[in-house]
Amino acid sequence: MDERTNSKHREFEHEAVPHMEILYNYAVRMTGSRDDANDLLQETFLKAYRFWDKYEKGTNIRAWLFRIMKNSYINRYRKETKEPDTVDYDKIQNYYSSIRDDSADANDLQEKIFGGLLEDEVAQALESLPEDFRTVVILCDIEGLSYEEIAEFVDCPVGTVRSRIHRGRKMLRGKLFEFARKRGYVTND
Amino acid sequence: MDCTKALELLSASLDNELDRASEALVQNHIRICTRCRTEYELEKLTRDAVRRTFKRVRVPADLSAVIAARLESELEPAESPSFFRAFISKPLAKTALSMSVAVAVFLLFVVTIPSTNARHTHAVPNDGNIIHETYSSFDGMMNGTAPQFTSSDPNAVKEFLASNANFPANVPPLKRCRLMGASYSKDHNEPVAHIVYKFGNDVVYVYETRFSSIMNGGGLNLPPEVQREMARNGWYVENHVPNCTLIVWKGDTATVCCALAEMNKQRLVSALAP
Repeated sequence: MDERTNSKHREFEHEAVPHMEILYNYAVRMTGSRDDANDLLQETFLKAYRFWDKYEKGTNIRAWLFRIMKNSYINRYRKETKEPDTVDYDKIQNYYSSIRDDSADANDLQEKIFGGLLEDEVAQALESLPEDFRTVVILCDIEGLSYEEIAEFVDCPVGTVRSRIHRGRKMLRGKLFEFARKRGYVTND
Repeated sequence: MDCTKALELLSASLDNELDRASEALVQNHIRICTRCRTEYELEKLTRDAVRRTFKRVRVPADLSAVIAARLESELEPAESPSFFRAFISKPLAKTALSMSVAVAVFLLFVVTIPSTNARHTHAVPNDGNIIHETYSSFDGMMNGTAPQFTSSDPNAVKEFLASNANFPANVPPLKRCRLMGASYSKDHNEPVAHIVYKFGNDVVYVYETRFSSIMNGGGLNLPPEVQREMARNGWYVENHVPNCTLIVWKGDTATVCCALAEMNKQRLVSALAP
C-alpha cells in the first residue's frame, strides 16, 4: 500500500469515522428500520471514502457526510415511497382551528392530546412527515443541533430551517391530535 | 410584535435560538396573547414528546466493523472479500461473508492488544463441549504432548488421519502457516483429529471432528448459541482472554473445526487465511 493511500485512510478514519453515530441515528429515524439504516450508513461511508478528495478541509465534516447520506437516502428510498411532495397545509391548519375552537383551555387540550400519547404514535407521526420537515425535526429535537448547523446540513438559510421546524412540529401535532381523536380522547365536533 | 411575527419566531424562542431583544418581544407577546401562548405551549409539548420518545442509539459494533472492513477492502482490492470462503463448506450469505472479513479487518486497525508472555491455562469442564475439549487439548499440547505424526505435507497428514481417525478429516492448507503434524484420539467416543501449525513462532492448533458427532446423540456437543452464531456468520469467535482466540467453523468435509492460538483475533484470522 503506498504512502498516499495510507495517509488518506488514516485521515478518513480520524475525521469521518467519529461521526458515524449521528449519521446512524439520522438513518434510523429517516428509514424507520435498523436494517435500512445499516445499508444506508455503509453506503454513505463508502461513498464518502471514495470521494474523500472532494471534501474541502476545514469545512463542516458532519454536514458533508450528512449530505452524502441524504442523497443516498433519496436515491434509494424516494422512488419507492408514495410520499406526496406537497403538504396539504389547509387541512393541517384546520386541525388547529378545530382544536382551538374545541377547547379554550390549553391545559385541558394538552391533557387530551399528550396525556395518553404512546411512543409508537410519536414514531408513526414522525414517519408521516414529509422528508424535508422530518429531517429538520430529527436534527433539532433528536440530535440536538443548532439551527445554524442544521442550515449547513440541509444547505439552506437559517430562516428556512426555522420555519420548517415550526411547520414540522405543527404537522406532528396534527398527527398526534388525530391519534388522540381515534382513541376517543378528543371529539371532533 | 403582532401575532404573525410572533408565530414565526415561536420555534426559535423555544429552542433558545433568538437574540435577547427578539426573545423579549416574543415573550411579551405570548404573555398578552392567549392564542399565541397556546401555540407556544403546544409546540413545546410536541417537541418534548419527540425528545422523550427517541433516544439516541449507538452504532452496533458489528456494523462499524463491517464498514471498517469495507473501507479496508477499498484500500486493498486484491486482498478483499474471499477470506474464509475456501474454508467454509456452504456458500455464505453476502452479509455473513462481509461480517467475517469485517471482524477481521476491523480488528486489524482498531484493536491493539498488549502482548504478554504469561501462559494462560484453561480450566474447563470435561462436558463434551468441543470448545472446552479444544482448550484442554491445546493445554495438553502446549505442556509437551507431541503430535503422533510429524509432517509438513498436508496430503501425508490427511492420509495419516484418514487411516486412523476413520473420518475424512480436512487438513486446511493454510498458506501462511507451516504444518507441523497431527494426532488422532477418541474424545467422548467420537473420533477427533488434532492438527498443529506454526504461524511465525506461534502455535495454531486445530481440533476437528465430524459434524454429526456434535449433533444430537453424538458424544460431543456445541452449545446452541454457538451453532446459531455459525449459521448466521459462518463462524464463531471467542476470546475471553485478549491474547487467546478460538474460532469455530464448518470444515468442507462435513466436519467442524476449532482453531485455538495464543494470539489476538486479527492475528489468528490472518493465520487461518487459506
